Amino acid sequence: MNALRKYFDKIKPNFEEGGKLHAFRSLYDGFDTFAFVPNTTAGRTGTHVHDAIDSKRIMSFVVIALVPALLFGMYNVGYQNALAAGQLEQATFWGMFWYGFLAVLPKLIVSYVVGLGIEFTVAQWKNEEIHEGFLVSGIIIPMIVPVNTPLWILALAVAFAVIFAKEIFGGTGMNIFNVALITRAFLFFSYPSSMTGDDTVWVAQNPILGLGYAVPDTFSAATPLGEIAAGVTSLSTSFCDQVIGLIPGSVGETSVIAIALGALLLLWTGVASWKTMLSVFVGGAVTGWCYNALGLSPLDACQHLVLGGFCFGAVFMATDPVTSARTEGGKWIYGFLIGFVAVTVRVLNPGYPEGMMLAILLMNLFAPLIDYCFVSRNISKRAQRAIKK
Amino acid sequence: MAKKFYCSQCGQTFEAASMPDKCPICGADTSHLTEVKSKGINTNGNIYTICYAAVMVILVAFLLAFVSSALKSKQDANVAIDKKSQILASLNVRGLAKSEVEGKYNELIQETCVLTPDGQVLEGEDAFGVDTKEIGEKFPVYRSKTADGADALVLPLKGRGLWGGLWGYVAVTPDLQKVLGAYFDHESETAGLGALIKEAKFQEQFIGRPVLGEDGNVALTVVKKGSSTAETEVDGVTGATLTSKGVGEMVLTGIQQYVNALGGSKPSGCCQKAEGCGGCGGKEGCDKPCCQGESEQAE
Amino acid sequence: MSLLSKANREALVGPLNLNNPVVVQVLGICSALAVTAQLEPAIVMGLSVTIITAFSNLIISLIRNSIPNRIRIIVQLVVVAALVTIVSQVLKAFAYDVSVQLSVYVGLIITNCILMGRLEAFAMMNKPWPSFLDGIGNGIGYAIILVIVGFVRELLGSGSLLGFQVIPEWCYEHGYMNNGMMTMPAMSLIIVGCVIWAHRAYNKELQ
Repeated sequence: MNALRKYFDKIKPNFEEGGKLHAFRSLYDGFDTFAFVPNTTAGRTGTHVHDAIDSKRIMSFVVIALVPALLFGMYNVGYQNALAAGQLEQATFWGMFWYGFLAVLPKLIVSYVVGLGIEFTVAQWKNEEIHEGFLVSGIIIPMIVPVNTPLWILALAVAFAVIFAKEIFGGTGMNIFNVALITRAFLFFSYPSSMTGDDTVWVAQNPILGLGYAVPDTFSAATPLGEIAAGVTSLSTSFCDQVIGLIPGSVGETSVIAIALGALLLLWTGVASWKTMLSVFVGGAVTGWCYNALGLSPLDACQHLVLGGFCFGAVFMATDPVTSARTEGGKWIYGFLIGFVAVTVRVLNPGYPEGMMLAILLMNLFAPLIDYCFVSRNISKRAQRAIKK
Repeated sequence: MAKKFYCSQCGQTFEAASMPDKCPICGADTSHLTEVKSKGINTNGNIYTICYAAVMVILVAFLLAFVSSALKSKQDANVAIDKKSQILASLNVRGLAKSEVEGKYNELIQETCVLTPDGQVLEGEDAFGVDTKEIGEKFPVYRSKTADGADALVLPLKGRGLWGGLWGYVAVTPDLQKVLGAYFDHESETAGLGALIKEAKFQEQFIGRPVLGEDGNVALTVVKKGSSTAETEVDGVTGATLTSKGVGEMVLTGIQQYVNALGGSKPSGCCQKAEGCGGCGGKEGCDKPCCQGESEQAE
Repeated sequence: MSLLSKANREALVGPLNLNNPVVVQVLGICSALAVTAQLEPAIVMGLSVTIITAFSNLIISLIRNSIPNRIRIIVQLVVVAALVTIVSQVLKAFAYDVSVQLSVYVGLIITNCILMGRLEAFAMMNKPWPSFLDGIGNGIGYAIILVIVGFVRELLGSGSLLGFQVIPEWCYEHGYMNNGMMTMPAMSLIIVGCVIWAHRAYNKELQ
């Protein structure tokens, strides 16, 4: 680490005012503060305890928490491909994993390059330091899109989301809507046949660099929720498979177990709020149970929680501190309503089998209102107490 | 209403909503400004207001009624031409200029009739005048020829898509065995997905398909692309599952209703082939409704 | 006053840029979103609004001194509604395809804020000729924005312009797809936002 520190210090003058690489100052800044905790405190006078946990470190934790889901997702891509081609017996674990890795890697690269590129440019132009909010969004985005998404529309969607959902509002920490979900929403509404309609989007079709198998042309596989929307009453995958995650779906969202590992890390480090996570599940379970009891949905509550992007959204996207409710009481309401809306959209609207994205975006809109209600109530309660005294 | 003010400094009159702080022309202060009351009627009086409103309303009503009646025939002609081009599309005549539609329609459509669900001919009803909403109680049938000269029956259909209503015209051979052409349209399906049923590409898939299944009932329908198991199953639009399903339903149940009304697969009523009307040449004693001299052809 | 004195010229030219009804006065946004999915209805709508605004401005200006104050807004509405109905009937008679595309939106011109806004703010207090010019100016300013939005939306959303396929077939074969969201009103609001963004960046005095 010392060598790295010395290297950073050595090249620093190039990026100062007048230095020849001054235009890339924000780039240098970004890497410097990412690798090493900056040595600044909030104020100049007084005594301040310097906490090594700042925004960049927190983001790093979230990225680490996402890694199990990402790795499993890659394996699942290879698994589904082998399953579809009928080659499951011959396929090896590593063969399937590396195939999935190669399929997902270009998306990761595109997501980061486009997103960070725009952020760096804006930071440079506004003469501010780079903000690290895209670190998490950048890894989430490839995990919530189907594996066959063309790269150019992914790039377009990332650019759209970073500019219109983040930068124009003021950058990291100022966005109203979850950036990764805006990316997915843009893709969903702009290119629906690449995102859900075709049913050939969920399983990778062709070999990459010699790995993987070619899937026959007539193959099509719907996600379990897609099957329900088309009127199938019993699913083609078992509950066990659904929990482990060996079902068609977006790259990172299928495995409950992998997501649970990430959730444990986030809860243990205190990075995500357990109230939000719990209330999303409670909301979804209660609503799912109601719809099942009313006969509107063939799935029971457990299945609703396990299928689609529900777990992933509950753990990683509903808990995003910038866009969720901030008050403790507000988090309960916020989470419950997300679960409620997600299951409602899935069950009642035949056009949108996956409702989590829309539910979270909708509640993002209401989060400030929820907070305002709680804060006002607190203020009036305190005023009452003060009057009584 | 604008008020007039007179400025004694510059001698000009100007208009403003209310007394301004100074004259906008020469800058004199309010002491030089006086309001000029309009001579004549007090426009804020009650009687004046009521009379004004009454006169205005009557004038406007007359004007609109005049315009509407003057243009009505042109508008009705437009609606009719639109419907005719849709029917012609089901007979595989597309892309006609507005002026040609009328002529081509008269050339291809031989005669029409309206049937009840159990096959009775409804006298005095004009098939072209039957609105899409009424299909299901009344069944208009058009006996016509396709673009290549084959005999055909055009059957108007009504259905429901994902977001709104669907309708269409399917042209079948007179013995109801084969489809010769189709046209579908929608009220509000999704652009780029469900709306594609309006494209020729989707509609042309129907040409040549058999209508009936092995059991003699209508089996023509729309299924998901790639999953068709019989000639009677047409591929739907990729990504528009529910709209395609709607079209399939419409075609399946709609044509079955016509088959029932026409008395099984051998049509009866005034649209019988072979001894068909128009072909009996005004034979003596022909008592079929369409030979009664009155033309049932649409305008 | 001469035909195109300075004040009159200002009334005519102002709304084209610095006083544009859509991007500066922020009026008439609803129809700017609804009809711009394709370029042709956008142009027709722009022309319709121009004609209606100009003539309603003219008529109201002519009778402005006789309108009782208490039913002022109602009278304006009646005049606009009558004009819109006439235009809608004319469209149905002479340009049926376009009227089908515009369907409800032509009727909605009555509620278009630009009309009521200009009637109250200008026609009630100015002479007929300047009012007429103001109406034309605002209508054309509105039409310009509609054409811009319609151009972008049709090009990116359907690959065509005025119904003619512009994006060549080989693009589609190589994996290019039309952007479905461009045909939705949500995207047109974002585009109008971008136009306002560019407009204000260029005209610093509006910031």
